[in-house]
Amino acid sequence: MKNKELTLRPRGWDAIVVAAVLLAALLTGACIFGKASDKSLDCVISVDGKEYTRVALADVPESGETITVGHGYSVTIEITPDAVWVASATCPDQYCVRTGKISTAGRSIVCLPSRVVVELEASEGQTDFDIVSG
Amino acid sequence: MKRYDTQTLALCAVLTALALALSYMEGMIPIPVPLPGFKLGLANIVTLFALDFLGAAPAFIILIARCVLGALFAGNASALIFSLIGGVLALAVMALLRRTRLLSVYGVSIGGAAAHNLGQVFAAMITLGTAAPLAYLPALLIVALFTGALTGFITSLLFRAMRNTKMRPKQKGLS
Repeated sequence: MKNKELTLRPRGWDAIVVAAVLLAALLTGACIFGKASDKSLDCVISVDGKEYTRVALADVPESGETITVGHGYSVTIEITPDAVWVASATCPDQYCVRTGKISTAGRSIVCLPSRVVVELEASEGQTDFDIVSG
Repeated sequence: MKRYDTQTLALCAVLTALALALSYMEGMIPIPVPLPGFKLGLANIVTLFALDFLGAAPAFIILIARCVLGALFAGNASALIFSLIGGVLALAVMALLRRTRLLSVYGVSIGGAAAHNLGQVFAAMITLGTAAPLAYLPALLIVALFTGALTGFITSLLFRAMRNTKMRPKQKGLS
């Protein structure tokens, strides 16, 4: 019977499938990358281009940790398990203080006058699954 | 056990060969997106065609034969679990979507492509024993919209061409 065959032209109902797939992509994306942010992060502080210290956010006490570094000017960095920010700095422009809190991998705070870079990196040791392909 | 007539049987064999050739050919097309498990899913054209033209059972047989033979030729046993899970999931979703009678080839095909990629991610999670491959799911689902539309388009061309032949779908309350 002809009417049992599929329609060959796109129909309005197809949009529902497209919307469902998009929604699934967004939902899984939100779940995975929302969760990934509170996964193990390292706070890397570099001074003058050299790594000064590396602190795993998971190891920081709830009350936080304060590190003061700098080259010429000094920058006071607050590290808590959830976020990293520059609490105060003696530099003239104060951009680093105004950057505010960072809490996801890849974000950074830069203070040019004191040559301090604070970066959040995803911790090492994640499974390498790129080697397998189907 | 259902008996198939000679024409159906021959068509199944030809479609299996076609699906095998397509999935082999697909491996030779360079893909500009660095996404593991990302495939055009050309073999899905055969599944969709068989599903509509012959019914769910022959489509399933063709799918299994394609996966097993494909893994055999490639000499890669771990590819079998990927293609089987992806393929069976795609077929199941397409059979369901087709039964709604509301969708065109495009909708069914996009649903199948999304299900196929979901199956690939599941297979990767099973073989690696970690949830890490889930990170690729959102991107793979978005990509499925495009590959699904492409295979849907090709399938629609195929159906148009088939209307000019003497072959007619065997629809006797199948699927």
